[in-house]
Amino acid sequence: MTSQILERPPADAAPGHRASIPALARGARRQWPWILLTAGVALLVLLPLVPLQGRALSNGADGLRQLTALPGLGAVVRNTILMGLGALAVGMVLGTVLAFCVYAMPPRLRRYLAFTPVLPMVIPSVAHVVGFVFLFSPENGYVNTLLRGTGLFSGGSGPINVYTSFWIIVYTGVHLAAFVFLFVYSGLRNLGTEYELAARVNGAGSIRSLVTITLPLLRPTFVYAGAVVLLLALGQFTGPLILGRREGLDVLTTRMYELTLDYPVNYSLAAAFGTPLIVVAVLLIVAQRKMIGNVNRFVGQGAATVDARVPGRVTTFVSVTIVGVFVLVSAIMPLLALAFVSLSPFWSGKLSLSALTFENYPDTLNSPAIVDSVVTSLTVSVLAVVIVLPLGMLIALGIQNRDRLWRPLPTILDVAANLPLSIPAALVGFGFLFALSGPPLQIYGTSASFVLGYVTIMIPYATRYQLATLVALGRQTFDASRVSGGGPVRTFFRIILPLSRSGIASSAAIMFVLLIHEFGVSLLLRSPTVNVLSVALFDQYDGGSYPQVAVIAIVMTAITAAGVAAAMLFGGSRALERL
Amino acid sequence: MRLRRATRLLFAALGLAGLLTTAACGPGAGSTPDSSDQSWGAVQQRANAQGVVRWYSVAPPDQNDRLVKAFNEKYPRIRVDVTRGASELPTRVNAELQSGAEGADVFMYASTQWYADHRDALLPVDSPAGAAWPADQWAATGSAPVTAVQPFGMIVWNTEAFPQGFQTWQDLLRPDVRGKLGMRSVVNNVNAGLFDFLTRTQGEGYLRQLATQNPKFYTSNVTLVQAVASGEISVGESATPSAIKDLQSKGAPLAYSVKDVYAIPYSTAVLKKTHRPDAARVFLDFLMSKEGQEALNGDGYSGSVLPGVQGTLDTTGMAVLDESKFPPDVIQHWDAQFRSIFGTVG
Repeated sequence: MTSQILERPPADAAPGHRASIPALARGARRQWPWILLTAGVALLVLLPLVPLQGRALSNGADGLRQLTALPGLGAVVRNTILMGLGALAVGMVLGTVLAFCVYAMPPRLRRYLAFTPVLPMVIPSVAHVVGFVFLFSPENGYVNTLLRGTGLFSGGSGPINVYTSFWIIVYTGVHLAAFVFLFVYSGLRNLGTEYELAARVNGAGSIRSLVTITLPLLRPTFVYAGAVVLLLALGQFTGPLILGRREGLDVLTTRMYELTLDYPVNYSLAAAFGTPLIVVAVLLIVAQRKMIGNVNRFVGQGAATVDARVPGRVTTFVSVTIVGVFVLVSAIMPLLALAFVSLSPFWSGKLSLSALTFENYPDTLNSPAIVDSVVTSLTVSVLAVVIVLPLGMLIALGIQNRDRLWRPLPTILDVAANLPLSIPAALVGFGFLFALSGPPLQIYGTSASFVLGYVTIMIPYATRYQLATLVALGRQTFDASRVSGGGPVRTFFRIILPLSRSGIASSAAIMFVLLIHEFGVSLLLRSPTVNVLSVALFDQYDGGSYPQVAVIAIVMTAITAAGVAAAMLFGGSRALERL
Repeated sequence: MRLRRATRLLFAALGLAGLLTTAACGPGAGSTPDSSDQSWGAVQQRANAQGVVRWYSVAPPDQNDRLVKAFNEKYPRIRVDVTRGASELPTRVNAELQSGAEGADVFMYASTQWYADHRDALLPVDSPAGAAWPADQWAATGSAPVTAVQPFGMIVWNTEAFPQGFQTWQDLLRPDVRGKLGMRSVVNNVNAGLFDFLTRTQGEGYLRQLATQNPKFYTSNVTLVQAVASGEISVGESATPSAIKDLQSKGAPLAYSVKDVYAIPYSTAVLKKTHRPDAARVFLDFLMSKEGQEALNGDGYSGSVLPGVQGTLDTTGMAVLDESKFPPDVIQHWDAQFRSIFGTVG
């Protein structure tokens, strides 16, 4: 397939030359696999979007007109943008700092601490937020209770109020910093040390080298990570839903969710909420392409690089401290709070050990529904990852080799591969409900509907992670293989795939985690015989008790941790460090 | 000679066993009645053969469990698969009706309007308990009875914070309540009904006075009640007895009042698309019987429209939601009122 990438379409072969019809036909034949891929991906991602937007635009765009007439829309949009940009800033800064801190550690420490910044992603989002509530609720959060107990803070509330805009931005930014860390750290590792060493040899200090060499070379990484994180922040749902409502803070996704709680549901208006986010997504994709330009300008690793850096003691201490504090606050403390509540008869806000009990565990886990949901979650998540990984790699290859494909194809692939990210998960869930409940794909209520939905929403992640890996690899090794006589398939399986193994393993791990935690789509697709853990967790949050939420959260965290460890083992024991 | 006799005896024994087996398995000997036989005994026999009923329910888990347990004491051969949900249930059921997908056999939801709108999709009730059901307590006459009257607007408080408790809705305006009150945030037909109830019974300015108490907002009754139990807030204006009783049983310092309550009706029906019509009919019949009503609503969990059911809440003083008075434009009006009075921080 990749041999066709090297051959220019006949129309470009000689400027000014008008290609003959047989030559055009030969060109089309060589491009047809990419055409098929593009059509297939476009169909897949448009499946949950077109019916939704059709709803918004039906009856003379009634949904959009209702949206513009909605009371308080201005404040909702302001909140959405403020929290989106705020979370982006916090996430990018934190994630980048963490990546540089881990990169600055000695190899021995890095081996054990490299993946600790992604620990917040291992905790399900509903549980993660609830854990933060247990810690930072102004009246009875454990941390606030301890702080007031020191005598430094008075009153019956605070000093931290997790329900305010500021702390929601901090929470969301902390949650998203793990994504940014993965992108930036992977980019740093793939960058190698040659250029930095060359700069240092020529007299540049570490700061100058960082600012003039390292950061510019990481521009594609920052742009990709920034776009992903901004879209996630704008479509953020769980944080604002659980933390924002108490003080009356609304964002687009929570207002949309409220609409879906009515019967009859105003589907037109609910779908219209997705329209601005789709527009933002398309604009971001266009801006991203303009900012990066030709991705091949950002050369990846050329000659073999041996990391011979010897970090100083102060650097090591500061790096380890920063990473340690982040992991403590973002992952360990919420987990401890969840564990404590899972052992409590109910959430009392008191750190009393006398009433602790294990009875919540058998009560919750003996439920056949929970056991079934564990099996279903694992099955559909693994299947979806196995399907979407090669699909993402094909899309990434198409985007990377855009100058060798017919011009519209890479653009369509790029846009289509990013579209599912722009839509709030709950809206995508409704879209799939429409699409899969009727002909021709009448698979609502089956595991296949989950697999199809999961594959679609994971396309952006599968593509971006693998594209970042391919970009960092650069074309030198690929071209060297081709020049040495290696065919496209041989080059792919013997050069690209082995070099991408750690990136593939990382993306498999991340996607498995995301799918185990996926909630918006799952909530609408579940049926009496097919349910997943994330929805079971939400059932407990909405209609059960916090201790039961905590039990399921602990179990889900253990499952995802095992999945991440398995993927890392497959990718190599130093998957995050090695190329 | 002996061998020949033994062989003959063996064949005779085998032949007799075969005859007896054929007699036992043949028609008319313990077989399931044909579907044309609509006598209640035949329905029950077919229900046992069908062996399972899938029930989508909006009722709290405790109440679901009580009903299933009581049902299985009478019908041990019919398994009940409960899917508990909330506002997403009608969407799922509608999708199942459209696609014919396997799913709900019996659907219980906090609405009367859905059943009126989907009358043609419901199986008519033809059972002993159905014949005795009050004539004016149907969401869709003859198909969807109102099977519970669930308190929604009621006061629940933390007894450690407010040992003196609350008697009336006016008590929520006390100065010591400021900053400690929790309210539901979602303005759907149910919540719009609650605001309308409070405005009608407590006066036009009541909601604005409530807003001066700096209330905190929660997306569900369960989270609101848990917040009251934890002390995050200390009093709430919306709850269900089920959520409160569950926490009380674990030692939470909660108390509540069922005076001057606003309630919502739970309606139930068998869906025509069901693959197990007899099991579904038997389940609904049990739910409509006094036994079923006591299981679902007894011990103070909710009210029953059937007179004389032990342990249920007195519904005579309750204000019950009339959905027909809250179409989408009225809900939008209350949504705008809510945001105007309680604000959306920008």
